[in-house]
Amino acid sequence: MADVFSIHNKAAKILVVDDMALSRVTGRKLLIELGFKAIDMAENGEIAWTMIEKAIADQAPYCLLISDWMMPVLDGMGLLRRTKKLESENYLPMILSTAESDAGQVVEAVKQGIAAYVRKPLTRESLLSALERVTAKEQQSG
Amino acid sequence: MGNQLKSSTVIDPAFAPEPLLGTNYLTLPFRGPLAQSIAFVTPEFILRIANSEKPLVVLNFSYAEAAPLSAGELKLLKMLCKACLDSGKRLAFVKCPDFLLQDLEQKLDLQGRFFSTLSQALKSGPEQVIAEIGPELELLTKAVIEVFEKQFSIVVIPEKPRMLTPASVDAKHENGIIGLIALNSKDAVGSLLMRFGESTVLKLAEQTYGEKLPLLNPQVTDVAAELINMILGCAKEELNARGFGIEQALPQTLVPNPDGGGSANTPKPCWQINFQSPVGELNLEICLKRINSAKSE
Amino acid sequence: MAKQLLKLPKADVTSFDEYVVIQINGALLANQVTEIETILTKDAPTIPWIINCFKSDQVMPQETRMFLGFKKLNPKICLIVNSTYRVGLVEAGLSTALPSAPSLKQALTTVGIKYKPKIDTEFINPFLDAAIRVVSMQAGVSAEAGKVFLVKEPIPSDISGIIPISSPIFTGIFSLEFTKEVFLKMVSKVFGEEYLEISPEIEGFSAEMANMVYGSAKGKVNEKGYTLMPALPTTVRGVHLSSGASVPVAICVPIITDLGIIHIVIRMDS
Repeated sequence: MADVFSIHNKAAKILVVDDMALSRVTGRKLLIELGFKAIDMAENGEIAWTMIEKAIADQAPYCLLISDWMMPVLDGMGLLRRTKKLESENYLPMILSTAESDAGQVVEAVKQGIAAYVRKPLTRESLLSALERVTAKEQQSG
Repeated sequence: MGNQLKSSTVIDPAFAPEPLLGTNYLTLPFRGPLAQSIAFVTPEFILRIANSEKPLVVLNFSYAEAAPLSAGELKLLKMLCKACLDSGKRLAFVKCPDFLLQDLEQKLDLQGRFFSTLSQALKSGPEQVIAEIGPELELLTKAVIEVFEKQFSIVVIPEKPRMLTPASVDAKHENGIIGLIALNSKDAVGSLLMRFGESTVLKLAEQTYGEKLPLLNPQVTDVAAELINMILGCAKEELNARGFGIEQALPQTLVPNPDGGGSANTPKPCWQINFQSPVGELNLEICLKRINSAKSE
Repeated sequence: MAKQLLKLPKADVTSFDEYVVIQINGALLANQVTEIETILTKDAPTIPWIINCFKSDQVMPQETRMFLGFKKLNPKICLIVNSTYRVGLVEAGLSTALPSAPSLKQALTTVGIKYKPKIDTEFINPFLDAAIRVVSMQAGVSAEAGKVFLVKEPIPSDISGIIPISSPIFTGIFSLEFTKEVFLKMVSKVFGEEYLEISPEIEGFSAEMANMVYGSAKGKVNEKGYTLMPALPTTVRGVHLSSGASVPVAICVPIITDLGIIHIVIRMDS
């Protein structure tokens, strides 16, 4: 069963998904700066999904997904739809990380069920703010 | 009567002077027997050409078999020329037959726009000034500053934007990689291109990945595409508020061939902005124009 | 394999084995809607229906009633819309009832189908025809298409005109590739002056030619529902596109002319 994500739980297992190495590595670096220790990375949604399924099978599921939107093979929204079908005990909140500034598109993503979004380029402050929003949501629903 | 059309003549569609669209001009290549080619200049055709967005129309007679035309055929050509001039276009004629040249010059104020080669015709202009994208230049400049500050904690300082026209001599840019993104919508067309010198992009990559990587490593080349994507992303909402209607765009990276060197250029006129930074020079090239979706081409 | 199921003046219905695309180009009459519903329920009752209304900016009640009617027959539908239309759906309270996406790829993901990039002849042929026409008209030479092939190695090229293609159905790059020799011969023929080196003065011609071919092909391609938009070309010398993280599918068509071979390359992003 997945742990409920909390910003205070620095052992939380997080998966960062982005086809661009710059953003993937930046996301990971900032999470490490914020004190998180268990961070994995994937290049696209399909690889991420394989990793998510394996983690569940290994009984060490991820607590949080930080994913880019536009990626080859399987994009962020496609990955979100798959994670929505996970059993509730393996619920995996997703932060959408995007260069997109079109409010309409972001609103649509929120309606689809992302837990938070963060605009690229990622900064420590913007990522922290998104993690805090996810934590608050998890606490509310938990 | 040369090759003037008789009513029984069967017209070959291969002779139609179908417009060829350059970025800032269109050419009408008249071909085969001139009278047969001119037969395609109908009122609908004239309207289509006059409604085109291109500011320069080149009538190219290089491949036409010139022979005297009937009064009706001459009239069609004059109507075409007049419609173009009335809609604010400039005209240029390549290898215009003498008889036609004299007739047109008598009837229309063409200001001697007759040339013996297409090259000369295109050099004749127009000089299209796109100064009206001043606010957009500012938006994009701010986007570059914001992206570098947030992503790398680097302060980049823009120099004064410089407009490049077809006649401008571009400065030599350091070899490196180029991020390119198209701005396509039904309301605007354009592209953003960012040049990163080799040393610049390698420093940015080293700062990100914590190790020295070769230029053609995908992690390094991705930097260019991702940065240009973020720059557009930062500016997109405001650009769209100004009516550019940009939807999703896919960034690309251009990398040098094995034999080194290389360049990429957007069509002129365009704007260039150099940015000074602690990691080296960066150069942003912007070509952006609004299109009138009501116009035909 | 694309199979046209129905063609109406303002709508096209095409089956692509795993899904159907309904291209809407204007307001439909009631009997036309019935015709579409009949053909879909007969020939494609269980596979997803993707409705391409990317060109529309305004959400019209009559149209959305039609879409909701489709959804009653087949819950697996998704609209391809632009951002203005999407905002309209949200304002009309229909964004949940009518799922939408900005591209075919994302629409297929919405309905649970894996997007397989492919370039079909309906897309390539207009570019071929346009290239032959533009080359022969610009340079006054004969031109014909050679055999199409998948690009496995870089095409020999000294200068190219490239045009990024971004549309809801297709995303990629179109390019016209020239060797130095062929480029100089072509420019010399077209411009009427002899050129022995590729100078800044003439290098833009590669982009202009690409622009002419793209402009000429665009209209025909858009008749088949691709919604390609106007685009600007870039002249590229001595550099090539990095494939990055994705593995693009690229096809090449040689255009054989009296002056030598020009290559058209259409690269599709996955």
